[in-house]
Amino acid sequence: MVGTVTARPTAEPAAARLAAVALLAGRKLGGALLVIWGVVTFTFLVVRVVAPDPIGLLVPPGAGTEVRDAVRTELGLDGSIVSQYGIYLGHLARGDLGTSFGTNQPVSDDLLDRFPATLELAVPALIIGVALGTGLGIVAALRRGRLADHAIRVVTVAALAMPPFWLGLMLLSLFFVSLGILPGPIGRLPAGVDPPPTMTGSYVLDALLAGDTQTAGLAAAQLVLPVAVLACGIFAPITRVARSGMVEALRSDYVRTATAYGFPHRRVLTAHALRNALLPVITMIANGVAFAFTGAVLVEGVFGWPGIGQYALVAVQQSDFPALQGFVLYAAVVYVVLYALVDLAYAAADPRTRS
Amino acid sequence: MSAALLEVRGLSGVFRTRAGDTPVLHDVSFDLPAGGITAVVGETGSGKSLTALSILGLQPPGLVTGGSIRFDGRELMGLDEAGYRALRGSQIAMVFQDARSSLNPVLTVGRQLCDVARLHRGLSRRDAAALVEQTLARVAIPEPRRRMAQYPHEFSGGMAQRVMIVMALLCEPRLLLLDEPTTGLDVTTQADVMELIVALTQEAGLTTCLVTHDLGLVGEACDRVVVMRRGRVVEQADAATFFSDPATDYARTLLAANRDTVDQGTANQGTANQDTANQDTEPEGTA
Ligand SMILES: Nc1ncnc2c1ncn2[C@@H]1O[C@H](COP(=O)(O)OP(=O)(O)O)[C@@H](O)[C@H]1O
Ligand SMILES: [Mg+2]
Repeated sequence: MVGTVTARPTAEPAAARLAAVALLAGRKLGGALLVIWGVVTFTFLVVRVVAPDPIGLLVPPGAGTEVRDAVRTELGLDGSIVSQYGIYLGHLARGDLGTSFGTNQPVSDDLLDRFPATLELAVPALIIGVALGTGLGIVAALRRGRLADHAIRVVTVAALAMPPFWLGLMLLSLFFVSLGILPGPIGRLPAGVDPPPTMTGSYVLDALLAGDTQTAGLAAAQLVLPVAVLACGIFAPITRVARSGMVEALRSDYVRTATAYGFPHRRVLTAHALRNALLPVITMIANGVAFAFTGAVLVEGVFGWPGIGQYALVAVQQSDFPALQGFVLYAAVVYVVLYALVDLAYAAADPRTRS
Repeated sequence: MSAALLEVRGLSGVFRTRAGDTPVLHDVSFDLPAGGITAVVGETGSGKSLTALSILGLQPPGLVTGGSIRFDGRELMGLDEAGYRALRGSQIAMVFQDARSSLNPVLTVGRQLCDVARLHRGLSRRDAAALVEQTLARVAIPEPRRRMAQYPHEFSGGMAQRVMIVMALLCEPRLLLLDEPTTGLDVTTQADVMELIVALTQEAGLTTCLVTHDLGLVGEACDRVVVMRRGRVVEQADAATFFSDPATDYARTLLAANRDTVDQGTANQGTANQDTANQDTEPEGTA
């Protein structure tokens, strides 16, 4: 019995394989749409039950019933919840997210307007957070039990324990209020400075492309603290996972094998330990991306940063139902897309997940 | 039998922790004569693995060792990293107990074997692949070319152990250390792997050290037996002498216990064979 190997067709029929992949992709897409629909519906209901009536916030105090009813009709809030929901879904299916009560603009336009500001924070914060997180995690694992490991643990725990908005306030009070070396929470540029002509959407890059180094410097200074706060929220969980992954890899049998067969230490670390140690970091990076793209709501609020997070914050304060629903839909799409990418990344990086 | 290829003298080992010192190896002394198979036997926890690992400087970081280990007359204790690296694989190759976890899960088996062949033989990528394929065939792995493109999780325990033996063979070592190479395999596969080890030792003129807790396994295969117990060598003798007239009570107990397990062996065989069927005949089943 031993040693007999059942014959196996050398290649599966290509068509069957393609069909299987298509089926899987279809199932995943269906699941994603279902998740988004659930989130959208939940938000629709919660917003209408929990949030204060927006009419009271939109009409002048003491306005009569006629004015209030007119506004209610104009906002599309006059029908039953069921009919409102039906209309909302109908619009959504056509890609119409509705019109913001606050800005009187289509919500999709508002989100697009604000996305570059969020991206300008997210990209540097992610680069710093991911690089710092993996780097510190690896160093901590290599220096396990030594001073560097303990120091990194203290920093990581502190970063995990601090709510980002609170850290933002502390940094502002130190670097803006006390030391006065960084600008205050006034958004992307100081008052009176015109934004550079739009090319990439990043003020720093656009100013540099326009040859305006002064504006670029001002925009960069505005970025420092909010990027630091975001990066702080991103690096700490990555450090933890990278450290434990590396510790486990260093203890593993396959690292011992590579050492036992005479490979130099450096090669054992890079070719064998690192590759495995960083697998679980993929999920943490995705969480960081989601945080930077959405969870930065309060951080943008603290720094007066005119991005998507601040838009959501204002929408909550004003009971701006369409804006709020638009933000939640955006967040849901970000998560769904990210987790699809995470699946793909694991399939590419870990042969055990391929079936 | 000629002079010893490896001489272990007064090897001591202590686990040093904050909680205190735990001695695990006491004055371990034995020889591995050049050519042939020496079995190091003893119950689990008797210090066999730590002894074998210490030869290549692979003991866990907490273990502080003392004494002398001479390989071909050269002292190995206190070698630096570069010294050990010159030895590992090319002079002394080791095969570990759990073969599947001893291979890197994210690299193909072929890639891992080729890397070893290139490091120790200085071969080109293409020549290394050819040599690996040929060596896999030599240890009776069917369809070696296809197997090389697979990952460790697609191998059964027995097939993975053959891969580890191939890794050792690729280095053309003088001394082959095998730590429990058949533990965890089913009975039939155990016999196959043992047969392979014996054949290769003879073909390649290797000196083989077979570490095991299973006396029954080494019976006919080995030339010499070293018995360990609680971190000490309690007996070493030629196999013939050992099996006919063991010197210590402990060895007699081991032999007696082994006779019991041999009797039970037939009862276990049925289920063990089913294991083999699942693992060895359906390479894609586990993927
Ligand atoms: N990493 C370790 N830390 C502490 N004790 C260990 C470690 N590895 C092995 N030991 C102890 O050392 C002794 C010998 O272990 P080992 O050489 O693995 O035994 P064997 O291979 O004969 O089963 C055992 O008592 C075991 O508990
Ligand atoms: Mg052992």
